[in-house]
Amino acid sequence: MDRPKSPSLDPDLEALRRCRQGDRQAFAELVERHQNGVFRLIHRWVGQKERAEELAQDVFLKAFRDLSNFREESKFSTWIYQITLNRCRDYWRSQRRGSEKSFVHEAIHSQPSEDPSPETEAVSLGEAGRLRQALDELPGIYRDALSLRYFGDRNYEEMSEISGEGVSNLKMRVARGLAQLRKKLEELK
Amino acid sequence: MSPEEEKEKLRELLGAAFSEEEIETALTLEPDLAAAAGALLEEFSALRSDQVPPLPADFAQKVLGRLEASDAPSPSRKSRSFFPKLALSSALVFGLVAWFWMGYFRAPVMGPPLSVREAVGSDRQKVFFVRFAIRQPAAKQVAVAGDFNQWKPEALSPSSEEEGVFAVELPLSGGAYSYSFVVDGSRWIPDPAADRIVEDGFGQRNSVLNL
Repeated sequence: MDRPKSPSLDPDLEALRRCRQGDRQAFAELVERHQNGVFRLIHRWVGQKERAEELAQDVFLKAFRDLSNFREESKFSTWIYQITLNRCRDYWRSQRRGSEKSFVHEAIHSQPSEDPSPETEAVSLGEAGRLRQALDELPGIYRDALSLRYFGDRNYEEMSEISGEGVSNLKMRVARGLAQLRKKLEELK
Repeated sequence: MSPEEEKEKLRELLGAAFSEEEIETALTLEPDLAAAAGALLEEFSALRSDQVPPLPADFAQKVLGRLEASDAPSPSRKSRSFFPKLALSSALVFGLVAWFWMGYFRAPVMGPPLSVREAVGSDRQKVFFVRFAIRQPAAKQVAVAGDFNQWKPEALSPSSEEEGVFAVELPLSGGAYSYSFVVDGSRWIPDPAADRIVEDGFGQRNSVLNL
């Protein structure tokens, strides 16, 4: 049986400590370790490579600027994925408000519609947009679990590592979240 | 589709990590989930059909580049920022006083008790289904925020059975949680049904739930 790792051996925390001493290359190590997972999740929410890359950069910049708020009581991955999920949600909501136009939307409509209704937005962004919108409207506790599982392609063990929640709890959140997602999708049809 | 085929789709949707016992628990909680599994699988498959492209090899260096670019502050911007900061501070102080007054002198309306159901997963971890509920007949919307959702308010739904009651059931792991209700987006009040109500050190009272 594996012994639990000491926090001092956690490579993320080691890099964080060097980072706090001014070593920016240590931050680059953190970015490299988490960039693919963060980008995959964002890309599934955004559906457009350039925009997803820009948002992924935003996530890491925010993490760097808020390093002093990270108290090492949770894993760095928990924290970075929480920032990512928040950024995805903020971006998606700004899309719906029309204040942050997506390239997809611009490509479809030469004139973006003013304050489109959720229904209009779902139709204009297609089936994937409808799924994202339904997911966004779920309570956060279910939205985050489903995002990690189906947008981030994470298994339950990884989700537990990322979120700090127990595996059984996450499974029930996924099951209940799926049931609520189905109802939301029906409403948006 | 036969019930067995529906269940097979559900297994595929939930993943191999779900034991038969956990699938049965999920179906007890959500009896319609098996029938919906096929359609949900299709929804996610459509999303996943778009391959996620690889990131450029210099992604981390681009992040560092943006960090360095944002390091140099503009002196003129700094000098102009004093008055907005003063206004912001005044608004914050005013807001805190108003919030303290409202939290202190407006007693919460007593409501239904906190109810907790327990379930045990195949890995022997307990899951607690906590029903947060509060009676607020005059409120338009009520939410709950706490340690379990990073203090981001989660909306409660009006109860169809109890007049003026808002409720939501959330699955939580064992542990101690601080939380508070948020009424109409601005009024934070503790849960009168909580195990304990404590001062948070900033003038607010939070409820404490021990699972």
